Amino acid sequence: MKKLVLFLLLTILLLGTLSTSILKAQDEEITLQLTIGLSSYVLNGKQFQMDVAPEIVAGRTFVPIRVVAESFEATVEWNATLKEVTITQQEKIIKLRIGSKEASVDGKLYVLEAAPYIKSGRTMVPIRFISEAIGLTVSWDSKTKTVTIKGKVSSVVMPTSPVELLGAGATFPQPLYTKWFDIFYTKTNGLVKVNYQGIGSGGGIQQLIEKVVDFGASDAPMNSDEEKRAGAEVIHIPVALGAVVVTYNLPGNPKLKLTGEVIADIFLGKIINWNHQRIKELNPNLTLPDLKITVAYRSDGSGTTFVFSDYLSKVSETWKKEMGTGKSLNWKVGLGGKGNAGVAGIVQQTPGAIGYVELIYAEQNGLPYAMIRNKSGNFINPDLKSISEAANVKIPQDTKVSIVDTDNPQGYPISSFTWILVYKEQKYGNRDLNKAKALVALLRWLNSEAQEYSESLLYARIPEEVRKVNLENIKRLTFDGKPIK
Amino acid sequence: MRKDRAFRFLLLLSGILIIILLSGIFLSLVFSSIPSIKEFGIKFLFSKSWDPVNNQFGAVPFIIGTLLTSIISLLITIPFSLSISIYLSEYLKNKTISKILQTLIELIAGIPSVVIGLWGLFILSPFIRNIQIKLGIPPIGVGIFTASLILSIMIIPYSASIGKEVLSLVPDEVREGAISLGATDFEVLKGILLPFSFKGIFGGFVLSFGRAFGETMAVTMVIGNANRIPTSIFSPGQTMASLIANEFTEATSTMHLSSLIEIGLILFIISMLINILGRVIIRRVSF
Repeated sequence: MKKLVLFLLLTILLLGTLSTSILKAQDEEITLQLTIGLSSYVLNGKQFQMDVAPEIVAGRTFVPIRVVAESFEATVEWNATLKEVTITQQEKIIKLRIGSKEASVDGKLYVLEAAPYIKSGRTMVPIRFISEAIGLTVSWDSKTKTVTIKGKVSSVVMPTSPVELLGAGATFPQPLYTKWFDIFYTKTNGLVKVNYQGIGSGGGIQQLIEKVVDFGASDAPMNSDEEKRAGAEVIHIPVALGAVVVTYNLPGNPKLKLTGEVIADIFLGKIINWNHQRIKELNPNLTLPDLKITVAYRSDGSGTTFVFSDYLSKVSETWKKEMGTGKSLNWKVGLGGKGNAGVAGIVQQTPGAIGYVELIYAEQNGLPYAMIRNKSGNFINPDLKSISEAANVKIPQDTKVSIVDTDNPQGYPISSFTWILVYKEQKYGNRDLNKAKALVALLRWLNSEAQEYSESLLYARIPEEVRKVNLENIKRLTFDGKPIK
Repeated sequence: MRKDRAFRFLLLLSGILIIILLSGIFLSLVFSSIPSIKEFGIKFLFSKSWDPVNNQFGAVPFIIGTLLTSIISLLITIPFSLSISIYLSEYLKNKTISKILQTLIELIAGIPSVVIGLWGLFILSPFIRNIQIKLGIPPIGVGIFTASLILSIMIIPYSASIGKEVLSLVPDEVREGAISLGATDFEVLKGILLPFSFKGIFGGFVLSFGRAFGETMAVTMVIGNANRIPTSIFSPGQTMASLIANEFTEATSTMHLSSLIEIGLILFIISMLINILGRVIIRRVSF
């Protein structure tokens, strides 16, 4: 009996720490800079516009409340009859009245040195009082006349009742997603349950377009045709990284070094024997056999083929012209195997065969794979670190970027993001706000704590920079045109 | 009386439902392949390029691959299934053993095709590879021939069962008449049984052919999945069914998808024709 109680106690404690850790993960440092007389302001290093500039009235700096509130994720309510402004941030409630020097914070009364007023339809408030009341730090630079407001926002978005989210798409990240969604279910104490169906990237995009899922997942970004059919803006959120490796069956299976051009010519059927001069040049220390090369490829349409051909199109002009980039290709030579297992089966059974599979599959099945020369001329072994490095480059805000043939000197050149796809406007079908909140909570978590689980399942983490871009993109999600809070 | 009528109505309804279902499938195949029919027209049946990257599609490699594997597998099947059905119905006098054997044969027919495919990939294809090494041709193991072998294993039980049923339909008086005239077992078979049941056995083969035609999973695993016209019976190829299984899930461009559906439409029409042919032939046997 005692043991049972102890066990229950421990479980509760554990659950408690788990759920607080999910809250902590959402803490965000925010810096807001406003300059007197300037109608542009800087939020976390980025410039934005507002319609009324801050000004000094009666020795106090006044700013439009909307800007501050939105930056620090507080809500502002306006009572027109009382002319009262209520600012709520987390548990704190601040009340002000236009033209009145009286203010209250959580019911406690304060007297302001200057009263709030309205200018061009905007409510102007004394910034120092408001900021300090909600626990932000304010500093004043008299030279540049700039107010800097700093603070942490724990912008927790959580649904208020249990929600079931439905996702579908890529099979490549499915093991990771299954684990993630399982942990998320526990961490939200059963509040958010996610069902994911690995039906393939194409299917995932299709279901998102048909609006029957809450999110899609794909190994390739949506193309313009698909975006047109979606009809509304879709946000791409890369959550993990994978890599395609070149595997082979040679006597003793030595570690090969290859370049993109040589791989392209092998898969085009231009290099047909292992003792070809160009392979020998790259591997001077190996004795390569006089053995015919048998090419093995994925016969089923797949993201793996897409990434592989995307890379070869970038490094080989001939490949680009004769084969191109796609999930299914018009192969000139070789044998097709269905799935990673099919390709690996052909390679393992056929002496002299060469094929391409996902790194995870090669690792789990002990297949040999080649080091590949990247743009900087380094031969890189595919591993979690070199894959993460490949993504550690400047990426555009929409994240719809191919990172094959990376500029990073330590990056493995056949790496790729795998994306989660969501509509920017979350109100579609008969979805409610609660669902949108659950989705935002999930996406935020995937870009913070969840990344710690990736590597144990052999998926590379996405770099810090990419996570920042993702978090900004997640903020852009709306429900009925309003930000989701 | 009223119950009787209601029951009859119910039966009629399910009959009509089948017709609606079949024509529904046919029509939806036609509608979904309209983009590809519009784009390629009749050329689709004669073009040999299948290039999803450049949206160029033609059915030739797959029609050839399908015909080749089905015909070769049928050729392999004929002697085996014929001897099995003759042995079971005429030579094996012990009814118990005959029953057991027949059950075993039907069990083979019940093995999921993916299991047979796996067996083909991991056991049969290395074996074929050894033969290819001895013959001095590229030892790839998988290909048209391996796929045909796998197919024949899958359709032998089918055609053997039909053959046995047809043979047992031969009236005993005819059989006994021949024996009383002093004919040996072989003479009875050659002169009476086979001519009598030829059409039925043939019809059984046509039905088996239809089965081989549409088989997907097992073939996909051992055919080599090369979207090219095979150059020999050992080279890799692709059938219509395995092409659809391979590319359907990730076909996102409209033209790719609709071309795959048109392949499905061709497969549907040919299999239906084969089935009708087989059934017409079998019906003619009835005594």
